[in-house]
Amino acid sequence: MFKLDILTPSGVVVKDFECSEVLVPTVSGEIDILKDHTHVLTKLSTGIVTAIDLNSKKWNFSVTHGTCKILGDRVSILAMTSESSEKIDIDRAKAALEKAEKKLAQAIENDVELIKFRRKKERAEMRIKLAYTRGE
Amino acid sequence: MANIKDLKKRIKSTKGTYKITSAMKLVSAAKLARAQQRILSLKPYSNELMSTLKTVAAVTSDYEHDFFKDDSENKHAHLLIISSDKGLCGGYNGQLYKEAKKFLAANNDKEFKVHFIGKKVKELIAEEVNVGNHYQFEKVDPTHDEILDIADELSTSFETGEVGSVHILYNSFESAMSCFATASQILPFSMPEDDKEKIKEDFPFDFKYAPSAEDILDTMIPEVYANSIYTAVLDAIASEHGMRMVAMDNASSNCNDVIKKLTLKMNKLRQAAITTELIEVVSGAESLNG
Repeated sequence: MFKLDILTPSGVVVKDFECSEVLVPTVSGEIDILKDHTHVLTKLSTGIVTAIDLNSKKWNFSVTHGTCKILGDRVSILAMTSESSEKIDIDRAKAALEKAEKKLAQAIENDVELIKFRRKKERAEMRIKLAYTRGE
Repeated sequence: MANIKDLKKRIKSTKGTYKITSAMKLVSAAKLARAQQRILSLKPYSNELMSTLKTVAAVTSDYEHDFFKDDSENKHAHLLIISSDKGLCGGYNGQLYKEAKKFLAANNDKEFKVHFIGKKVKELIAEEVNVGNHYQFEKVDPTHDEILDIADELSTSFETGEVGSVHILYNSFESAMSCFATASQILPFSMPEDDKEKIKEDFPFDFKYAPSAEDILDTMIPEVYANSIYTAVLDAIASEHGMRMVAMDNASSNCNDVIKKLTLKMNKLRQAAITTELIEVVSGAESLNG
């Protein structure tokens, strides 16, 4: 058993969440964390963190951009944004995806804007995917 | 001399003011609680971010990042002033304005371009400085994303060498009763100055870094930088509501004082009028009897 923290600037998503296994998406691929994992500090990629609690129930959280620290019996994930699959409003995510796609379809000359809308699209897609993991 | 009718009018209008100020006080108290909650929910993230940054910084040497470059030759600089959009918050904007003038006078060797969040200080200082952007938000309180956009804009002009430093001026939150204007430099970025040996003692762990410690620093430093602006903005919001709450509390108690004074005066006048009338009646009766 070890503990999982997911922290974002807008609040604590989970703290001291007891779990037996965590799957974390990193830039170099997904890593599977079990008890007594070696100390690792790595970069997150946008994706879904799956935590399996002591009753073998799966909990899914979206994460975007950040770092993951595995130290002792604690996994700390620092992400720009993160949400629990239980809390996602699927209609809103779909609307956001549509809006981002529409923007991207128009010619955007500004690089910053382009990156912004790509990120938005990525995020909306992930939220929709996350919402469908409910009840698994 | 004021007559009873005038006094009644004044009492009525003061009571109206009292209702407004005490309602504003309650609203500010509620907003302050929410602003403090936002600060509290940011804290765990900031703390963890700083401790991770230190851990990584301790194991790297000769690390270079665009945010570190010392470009003191460049006389151009950005100053971001975070004030409020609304008044009636005591000395909140006044003290920022004073601090801004002091800051500009102390750094008069640099050419500042001043950017604003909130319009109050902008209105005060606009004619004395080189005005840059005025950032506005979709809702009253800015979201984290909106602050990130501002942070990106400022850091981009630092990276391209357009400016040599970026400063920020805001009211830092101490308690609901007090806040003080703080000016700080956010770029060039300086690493936490703790001794590397000490950090190694505090964090005696042999991390495996993936992809590499430098690569992780590359992503962390912009986050820490943006976080410092975000913290400042949240602090400023909490200070504003705190100050407004105190100002409105004072205004309400002043209203109460005025109402009391005016009521007393009015009662005295009314009493005097009654007494005069009585005397007239009594002396009239006396003269009839006489």
